[in-house]
Amino acid sequence: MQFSRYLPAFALRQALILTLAALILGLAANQLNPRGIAIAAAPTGAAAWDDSPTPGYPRPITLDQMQGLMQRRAALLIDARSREEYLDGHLPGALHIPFEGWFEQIDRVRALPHERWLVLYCSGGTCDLADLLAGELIREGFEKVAVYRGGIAEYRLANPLERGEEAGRE
Amino acid sequence: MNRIKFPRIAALLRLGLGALFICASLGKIMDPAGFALSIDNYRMLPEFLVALMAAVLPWLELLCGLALVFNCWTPGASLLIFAMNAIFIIAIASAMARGLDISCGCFSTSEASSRAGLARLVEDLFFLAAAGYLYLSSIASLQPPQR
Repeated sequence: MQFSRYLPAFALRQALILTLAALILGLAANQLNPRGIAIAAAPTGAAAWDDSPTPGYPRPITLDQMQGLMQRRAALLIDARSREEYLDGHLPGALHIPFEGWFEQIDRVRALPHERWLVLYCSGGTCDLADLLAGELIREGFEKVAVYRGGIAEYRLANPLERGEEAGRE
Repeated sequence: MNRIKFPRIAALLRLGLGALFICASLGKIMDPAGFALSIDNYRMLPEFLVALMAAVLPWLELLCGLALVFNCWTPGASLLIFAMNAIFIIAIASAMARGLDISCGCFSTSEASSRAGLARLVEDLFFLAAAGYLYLSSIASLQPPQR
């Protein structure tokens, strides 16, 4: 009794209609506003990738985003693990630049393209070789450096690995 | 619940609170991204709710402000303003309790705007009281007297 006296139906109805009107106006205005924000991730949102470089820090990248970049030939995969691990199985097409001893390949590193994303990975989980190598590449002046933190551990769950030497190498 | 005892004061509060909410809404409507950042700073909501709130809340403030200024649907509008202020108070108090040094996002989305602190909390408590008074007086004047 008391409740309905302090919250009469007409007040609640007005509040509800005002809220719905604000919802519709807000969502519509946001759609029309060139500076509007993304409310819900689009179905392809997981694969969406902002192509602008991120100088100074490596950008985390998901499996979907990485595969999207690979389809557009906009990325190079780089395996930062040891030679043994690389030979035992790596992401298809990945270059091998192990963090341990990367400087021995400095000429090759400097020849990497600046216009494509360098997507670094290691075993996954808590591995840090990819992040360490990312730091070195950034110091070398690369601005499109991404780290795929899922690494081998996530990738191999649904995708076959490639074994042996780098493609194009003996 | 009696009829309005101080109709002039109620009218003044109504116009003041309405104008205030209209002013507060405009900057955020122009800059939803900035407002989203302000909301996100409170670290209380998941990402999609932050975006939804940034898009919708300023419009709710605008509509309620207009309703109060034009004295149309004052019960519903003052009820919503009461609820919004209660949420703002919880948000600011929780930010203070967690030691967050963030901009309030109350009236403007810019970084230089005021901090979420005690002054804002007291201010919002005052608005809360004003909205509560407006609400009770408006439903009292619209309801048939009891018995």
